[in-house]
Amino acid sequence: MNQRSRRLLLVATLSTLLPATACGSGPAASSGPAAAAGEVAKVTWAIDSGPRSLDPAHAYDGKSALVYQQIYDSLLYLDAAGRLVPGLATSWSRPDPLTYVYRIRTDARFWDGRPVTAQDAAFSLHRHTDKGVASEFATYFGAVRSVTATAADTVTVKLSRPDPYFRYVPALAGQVMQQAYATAHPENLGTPQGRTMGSGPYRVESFSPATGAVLVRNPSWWGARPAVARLEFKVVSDPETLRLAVQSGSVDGTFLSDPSQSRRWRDGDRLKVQWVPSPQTVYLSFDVTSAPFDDVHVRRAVSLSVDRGGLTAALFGGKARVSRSITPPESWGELASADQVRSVYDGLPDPRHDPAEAKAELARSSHPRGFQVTVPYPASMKWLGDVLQSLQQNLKPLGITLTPQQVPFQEYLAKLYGHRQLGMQIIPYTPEYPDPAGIPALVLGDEQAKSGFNTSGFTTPEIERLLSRQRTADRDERVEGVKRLMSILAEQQPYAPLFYTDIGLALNRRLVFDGAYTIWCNFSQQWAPLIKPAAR
Amino acid sequence: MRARAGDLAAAASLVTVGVFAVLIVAGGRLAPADPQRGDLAASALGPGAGHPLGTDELGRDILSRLLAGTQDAIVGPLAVALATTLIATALGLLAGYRGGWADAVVMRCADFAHSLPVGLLTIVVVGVIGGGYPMALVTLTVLAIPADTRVVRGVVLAQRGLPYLEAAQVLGLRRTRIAIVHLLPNVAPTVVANCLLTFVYALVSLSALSFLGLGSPAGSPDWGRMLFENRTLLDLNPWASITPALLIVLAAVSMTVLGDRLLDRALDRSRT
Repeated sequence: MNQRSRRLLLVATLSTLLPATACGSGPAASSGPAAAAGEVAKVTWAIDSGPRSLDPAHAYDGKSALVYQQIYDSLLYLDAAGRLVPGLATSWSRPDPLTYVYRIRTDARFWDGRPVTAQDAAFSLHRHTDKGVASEFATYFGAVRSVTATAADTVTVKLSRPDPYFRYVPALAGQVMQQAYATAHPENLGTPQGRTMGSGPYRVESFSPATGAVLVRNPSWWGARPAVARLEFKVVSDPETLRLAVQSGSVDGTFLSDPSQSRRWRDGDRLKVQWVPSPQTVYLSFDVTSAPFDDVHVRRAVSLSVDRGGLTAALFGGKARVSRSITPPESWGELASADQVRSVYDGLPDPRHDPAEAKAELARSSHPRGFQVTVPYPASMKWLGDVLQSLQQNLKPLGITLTPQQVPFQEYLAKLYGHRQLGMQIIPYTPEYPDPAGIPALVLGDEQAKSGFNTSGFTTPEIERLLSRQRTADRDERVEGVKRLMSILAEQQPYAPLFYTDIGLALNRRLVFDGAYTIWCNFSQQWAPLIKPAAR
Repeated sequence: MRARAGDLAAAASLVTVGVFAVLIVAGGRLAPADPQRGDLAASALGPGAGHPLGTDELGRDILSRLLAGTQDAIVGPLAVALATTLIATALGLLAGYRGGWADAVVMRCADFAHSLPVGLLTIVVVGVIGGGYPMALVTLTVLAIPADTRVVRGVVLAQRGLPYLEAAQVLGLRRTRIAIVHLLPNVAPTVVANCLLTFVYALVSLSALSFLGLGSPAGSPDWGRMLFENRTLLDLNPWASITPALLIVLAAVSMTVLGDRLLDRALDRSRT
C-alpha cells in the first residue's frame, strides 16, 4: 500500500466530513457584508468531532487542522486561487530542481516570547522525516534528503529526486513549533496534558479531543491583530443539532463540507450561509482488470445511466456541478490560463444521462444481459448511498443489478486499498494542492495500481510516459500531457466522473468572514484572524 | 369501567392488526407508485397531489414505500417471535416439567445468556460479522430465547403440582405425552401472550438496527431504514420520517395491548 495515497484519501475524506476554511485574498466568493473595526469578545465554532492532537505530525486530518492551524505559523500558505503565498517564510526559491530555500521572518515570536528561528523551522520540517516521530505527514517528505538551517534566517531543503509537488508541502505540513518545547515533551506533545508551543495568532487555553478546544488571542503575534479575542471550538456531532445550534445563535459558525446538507442550510435572521465551488470530485471507479468492467462498453453503459443533473439538484440543491473529468477545473492553479482550462473542458464529452445509448452500449458488450455488482459506500456518507440507489434504479432496465452496501468507513477504506476484486466503487476525493496532474498521478499508472490509489488498475505505456514527463516537463508540455490524459480517461472510462461538490460556511450575522472563502484556503490556512464583526 | 376500556383498546388493536395483516398480503399491490422508482425532479416534496405523504430525497413516494414495507416490517419480527416461542417453549417445558439436571443445565445457560446486553450484542454481531437482515433475525431469536424460556418454565412450575398432572402420571402416561397433550394447552395462553410481546421486542429491535444502518439493505422500504434515511428531511417533508415512526409505534402498541389482554385472560382463567 502506498502510504501517500492512503494519506491523501484519508485527508480527502476527512476534509469531506469537515472541511475547509477560507483565507487570504484572491478571486473567490465574498463573504457578504463588510467588516467593521472593533473587537469580538468570543466566538463559538462548531466542529463535528474534536481535534485528535495539536501536534500536526499526529493529526493529519481536517478536524484537527481546523484547530491547530490557528496556533501555528506555517512557512507558506495557499491563497484563494491556490497560489503559494508567504507565511513564516517571507520568500522562497528553487535554485535547482533538488533544492528549496526558505527565508524566515525575523520578527516572529513564540507564545513564551522566544524568537522563532530557522532552526525551529528546520526542526519542525525534519520531524516529518523522522521515523521515530512516525509523522502522518511523512508521505509528503519521501523525496526529502535533508532539512537544515543554513543561516540564521534560512532553511534549505534538499531532495534526493525531483518532486514537482514538493513545492506545496510547506503550505500543507509547514507548521513551525518550538524545538526546545517539543524536545522537552517527547511523550505528550500535542496532548491535552503536554499541549504545544507555537507562534500563531492564538494560543491554547484548553484542549480535549472529546469536547473541543479554547484558544485565546496571542498578543505578540507578528500579523495584524485578530478581532476575535477568544475562540471556542465546540464538538456538535449530530448534523441536525449543529444546524439548529447555529440557527439559534448558540453557536456562531461552522464549516459545511457535506454537500447533501446544502438544502437544509438556509439563510436566517441570525444566520448567513455561503457556498462556494470546491474541487472535491466524486466519481465511479471500474476495475478494468476483471469482468465485467474489463469491457469498455460496460463502463460506458454504467456511466450513461447516471442522472448527474437530476442528482445534483435532488441531493445537493444545485450546490454541485456535473463533472466532465475527475480532474476539477479548480485544480489547474497557475499551470494554465482560465481560457485554456475552459477550452480543455469544453473539448471533453458531455456526461449525459442517456438510457437508450446505455442499453445500446451494453448490447455491444460481452455482458449484454447484464450482471450483478455490489458497491460499498461509507456509512458516514449517506449521500453516496443515495447516488447508488438512484443508479440502481437506472441500471435495472439494463439487467444490471446493483446493490449498494453500507459499510463502516474503515472497511470502505480497507477495501479500496486491498486492491482485490474492486469491481465498481464510488469515491469522493479532494485534491490538496492545485496541480491538474495530481489526481491522474494518483489514480493511473502501474505503480499506483500495485500499491496505491489506482482503483481501476488502468494503465497503458502512453499513460506511463505521460505521467513520467509530468515530473520534469515544462509548462506547455505539462498542459498538453494533462489534456491527453484527460482525453484517454474520457475515451476509456476507467473512472466515470460524477460531480464536483460545493463547500459551505455558516456564520452568525454579527460576524463576517473578511476574506476569500475557497477550498484552497483549507485546513492549511489561518482562517480565524479573518473573522471580524459585521458592519451595522 | 376499566375492563370496558381494556376491551375497547383490545378491539381497536385487533382491528389494527387486521389492517396490518391485509397490508402484509396486499401492501405492495395497493401502493400507488413503484416504491423503489424515484423521480429526482420531485425530490423531498411535501404532501400533495400524486404523493399523499410526499416524497423522499430521491423522489420516491412515501406512501408507496410504507405500504410495500409492511411485509418486511411485520414478517421479520413475526418470524423471530415464532421461532423464539417454539424453542423457548420446548426448553421451558423440559426445564420446568422434567426438572433435575435438565432444569439445571437449561436455566444456567439461560441465566448466562440473560446477563448479556441484548441490544449491544445484536449491534456488535450484525455490525461486525455482517449478514444483514437474516443475521439480525437469527441474533435476535437467539438472544430472546433465554427470557422466554424463563417465563415458560415459571408457568410450568406453577402447573406441576396440580391434580390433573398427577392424575396423568398415575395413569402411566409418558412424560412427553403429558407435557405436550396435557401441560402445553394449559400454559398456551401465557405462551401466546408472551409471543406477542416477543414480536414487539423484535419489531422495535429490528427497526433500531435499521435506523443504525444495520440489518435491512440501503434503499429498502423498511420502516426503520426509512426513519433513518429520511430523518434529515424533517424541515422539507417531515412525513417522510414521522409516518414510519408512527407505524412502528402503532404496530408495537397494538401487539402489546393484545398480548396484555391475552395474559389477563389467562390469569383470570387460572384463578377460576
